[in-house]
Amino acid sequence: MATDNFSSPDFILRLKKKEMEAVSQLVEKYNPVLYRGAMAQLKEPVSAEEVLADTWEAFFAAIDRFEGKSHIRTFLFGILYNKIRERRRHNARFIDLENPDPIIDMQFANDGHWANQPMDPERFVGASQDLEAVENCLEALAEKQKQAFYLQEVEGESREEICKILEVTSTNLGVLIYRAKNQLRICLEAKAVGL
Amino acid sequence: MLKRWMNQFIFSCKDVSFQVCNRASLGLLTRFRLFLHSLVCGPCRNYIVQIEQLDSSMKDLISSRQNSLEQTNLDELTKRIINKHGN
Repeated sequence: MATDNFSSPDFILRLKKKEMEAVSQLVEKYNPVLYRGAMAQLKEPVSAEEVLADTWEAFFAAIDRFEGKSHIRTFLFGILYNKIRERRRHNARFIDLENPDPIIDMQFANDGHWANQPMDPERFVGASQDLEAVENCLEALAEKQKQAFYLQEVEGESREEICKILEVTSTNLGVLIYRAKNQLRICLEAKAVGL
Repeated sequence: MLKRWMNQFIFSCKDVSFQVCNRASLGLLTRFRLFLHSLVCGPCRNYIVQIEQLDSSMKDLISSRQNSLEQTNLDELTKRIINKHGN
């Protein structure tokens, strides 16, 4: 019997017993979603599959400790992003959320007005529709910015869920999204100038 | 005094740039303040359109990546995970 409520105590209990039907329902529902999430971050199918296998491994190892306080999707995405972080820790860049970002700050004068005015959207659209250019700019973002951007703009997760998954405050999430979008925008403007 | 109040009420361009990126979570008053600023500021209107174009391009990019995935591989992976973890 298919279920829509994967976070119900009854369903969680069945998962803890590793009942084939419950495991099957959960994995069939969330494996494609998690795979999309892993691919969006890693781009490599082989790496995405490995991270996915590790994620489910960790999920079933931790299911006995899952108390149902958050949605099971949040729990799964939290594990997925931890696995991705572990995998990329060696080249992950530290993001300082407390201090201003100098690249973005240079766009504004001291009075808060634009120092470098945004380009005419008609010129910008050429670069923004070039998916290869967008992809190159996206790769330059820090890991957590990419994850926040993906969860909000593509998966449509609520801010509350994203904060739980990435373990950031709502204010920090706002800063992550702001910096991600502006760094992409500045990068694409530079590409548009070169078109 | 009115001028000072107006200066505080109407966002600066820098404030607008931040709020536009987090538009989904804004209240009515903040949206109104954004609207007021965008009425009088051409560069911010350009900025808002750029951010909208960016959001739309990101969705196109992700969906183009997803369309290229081999569905059969994913189905096999799903089966392997179910068989490994289910009793």
